[in-house]
Amino acid sequence: MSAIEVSQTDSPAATAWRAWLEEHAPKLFLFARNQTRSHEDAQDVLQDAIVKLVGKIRDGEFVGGQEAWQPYLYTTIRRLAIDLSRKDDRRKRREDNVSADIESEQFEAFHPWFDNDGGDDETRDQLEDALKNLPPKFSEVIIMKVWGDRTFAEIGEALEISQNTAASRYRYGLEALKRELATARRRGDLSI
Amino acid sequence: MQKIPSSEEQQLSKLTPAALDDGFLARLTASAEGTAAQLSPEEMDFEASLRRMKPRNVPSALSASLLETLSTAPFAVDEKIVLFNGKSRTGTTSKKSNIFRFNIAAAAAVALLGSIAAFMVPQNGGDAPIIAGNSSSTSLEEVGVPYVPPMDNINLSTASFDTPLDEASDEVVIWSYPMQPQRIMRPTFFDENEGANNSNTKQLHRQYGLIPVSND
Repeated sequence: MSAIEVSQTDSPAATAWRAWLEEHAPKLFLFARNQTRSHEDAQDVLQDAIVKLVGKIRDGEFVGGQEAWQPYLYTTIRRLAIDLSRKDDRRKRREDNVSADIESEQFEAFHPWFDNDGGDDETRDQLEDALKNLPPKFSEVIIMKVWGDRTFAEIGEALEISQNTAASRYRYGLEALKRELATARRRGDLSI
Repeated sequence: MQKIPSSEEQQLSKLTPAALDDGFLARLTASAEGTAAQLSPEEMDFEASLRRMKPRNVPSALSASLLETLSTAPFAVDEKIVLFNGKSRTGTTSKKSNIFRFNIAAAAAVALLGSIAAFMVPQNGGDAPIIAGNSSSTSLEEVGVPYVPPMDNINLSTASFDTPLDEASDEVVIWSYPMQPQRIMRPTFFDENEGANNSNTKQLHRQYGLIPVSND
């Protein structure tokens, strides 16, 4: 281990940050994957969002304490994903590469969204497919509410919609998700 | 003179807006009643079943990169407690460590008075004080405490007694350029001004001071 790593991991702040990352990074990464088109884009977007948060904290510009970090990160991830998507659209219009798209799909299959401990691969895959098949405005609310533990008020603020609209989209989304999973549940394939 | 509606307008006026579907009506009603955010038991059950699927962990390389970035920033535990970077003194890591240093005259004076008061017991004459609670007559010099003449009356008072300082509060820790944490202190003073006819007026004023905070 290099000297830099030792000094950084030994500090009280680094220890606290590691614990915070272990708890919250998977949820933030899930949201980033929902907002972007690929595993790699999700990593880039999450990293950029963290860099922005750190910059604001170090400059003394961040308003609020620890409880404000996650709302800020969800909002920033979404905005960065939108910007990235626009850049990608312009690039795709210039390059039309079918084989690259196929490669990308295969790569994504090896990087599932959920762990399979306590369940099975088929359940995990069908839930992931069901979320991907939902309209994005429903799936992003579901992901923020169920796994991000955000309130409807926080979801509304991050997505720039009202709290009531967030709640409605959540309800519609849950109904749509239930229908998507209905066939598998009738077969008894799913544990949910 | 009233305008005669055209035939198109007459045809349009015969149409009526479609009725709202029950689901949308229920949504509007819930919004009006303020219950839109309340979930039904079935919805909560489904939500709980979804929550049993855990999001996958972040790739280890990304996790290491994120930690390296985050470790350069202070970690705010809450409003008053901020963890800084730098090695811990014991060399061992701990989940939470609080490092405070107060470097103002009032806090230092209170600490000094408190330590002296703990050892002082009134004596007859000018003998050296005996350590309270200690059966053996151990003098203060023997334990390394400088000798303080005994007072006839022990009269403990706050550090702000007989000073214009009324109170001092700790506001927040900020980071200033270049990466120096500083605590903002807000002492409140009462200035006494002698007025006409032997009257005294007290004027309140507050100051703000920056105290460097050690972050090692």
